[in-house]
Amino acid sequence: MSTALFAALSIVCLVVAPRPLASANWATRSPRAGLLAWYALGAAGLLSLLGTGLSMAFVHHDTSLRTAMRAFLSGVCHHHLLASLGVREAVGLTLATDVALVVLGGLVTTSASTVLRRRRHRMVLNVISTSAPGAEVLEHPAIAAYCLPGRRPRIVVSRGTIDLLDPAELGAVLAHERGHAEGHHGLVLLPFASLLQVLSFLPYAALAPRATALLVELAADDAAARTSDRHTLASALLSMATAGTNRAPRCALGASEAAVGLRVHRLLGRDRPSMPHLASSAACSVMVLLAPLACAVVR
Amino acid sequence: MAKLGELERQVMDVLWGAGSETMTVRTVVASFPDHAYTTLLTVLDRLAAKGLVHRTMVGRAYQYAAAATREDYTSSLLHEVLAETTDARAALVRFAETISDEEAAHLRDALDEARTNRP
Repeated sequence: MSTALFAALSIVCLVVAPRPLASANWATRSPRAGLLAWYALGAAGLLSLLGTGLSMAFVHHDTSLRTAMRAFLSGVCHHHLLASLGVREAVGLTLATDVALVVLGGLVTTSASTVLRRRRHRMVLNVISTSAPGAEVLEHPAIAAYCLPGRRPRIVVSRGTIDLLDPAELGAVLAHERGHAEGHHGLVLLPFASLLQVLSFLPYAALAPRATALLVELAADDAAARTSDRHTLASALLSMATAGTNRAPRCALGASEAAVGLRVHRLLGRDRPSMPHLASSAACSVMVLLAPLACAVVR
Repeated sequence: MAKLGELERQVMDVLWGAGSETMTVRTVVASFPDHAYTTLLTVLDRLAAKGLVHRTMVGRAYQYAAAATREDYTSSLLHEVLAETTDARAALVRFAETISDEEAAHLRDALDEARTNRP
């Protein structure tokens, strides 16, 4: 019984729910609520997948996973660990260890490669950037503004961007990048990038990186809107998206076009961020996270 | 540390200023009358360890040169920033995507309208 519950819950979290969440209006209205929901869904889904394996391995008939695990652990203590390991148990144990190893391994390797890449970027930046108030400047005509995350986040803007924007627009863009830095958005996105590396066949892992990348942009827009004019930021966004030598090939435009459109419309002020969304998302997230725990005590 | 970092930047500027010519520690020191020979040797070694400077033995002295031009380094950073791969994107949080001219004109109209309607 608990195996079926765990399996159903992991399918709901990792296969069924991601698509509606990726297109949910409430998430784009309150990006932090959306990010929280992606985290809760992922954690609950992966815990359930782990639970599926564990309960296949250890639960017989009418015990709960909790009691079965307790019996197993006392078995470990008395050294008759693998005495009665059948096919079902072996499959379950393999599933559980694979999930744990793949997810943790992915997190470690992605973190390591990201840290190295950032370190290399920072090292080069240190010797080539020129400093300006509120940002470092790369002397290049391309259009780019970005935040290099880290313990001391760096905000970088290209000469092309400075020439393109008026001072108020540039200020709004830098406020947006400070929003990324202060929100630790590099860290927020890391787990989703790592899941994509190891479990890309899951709809959750395939959809989460782009959806959460959009949500952190919206969160940074909200942060910028606290100190800068919303219309000025929208204007800067449009200028940067249409100017410059770095236009993406036509076939790659679809999704990013939607993202810029969404951000501009949002900045024009029709959908203000709302706190009730964050509160209700927090409540739902807690419930979603409790579900695998409930499955562990049910018979 | 911060001082060494600043000095690294200045030494790179000197090496880039020399163009494709290599320099010995002694010729680099000539540009930094306030710093000791050993300090500049340390800085050049650090830059070589980071891969930013190439070091070759010519006769009995090392010759130093920038590993790539300033322009090449700038392009490589921006290439990383504008890359579409999730791997590169995970390392940075960048500002804007690109959109088509039609979509831009449409959004620009909406923005102008919002600006004129604002109380």
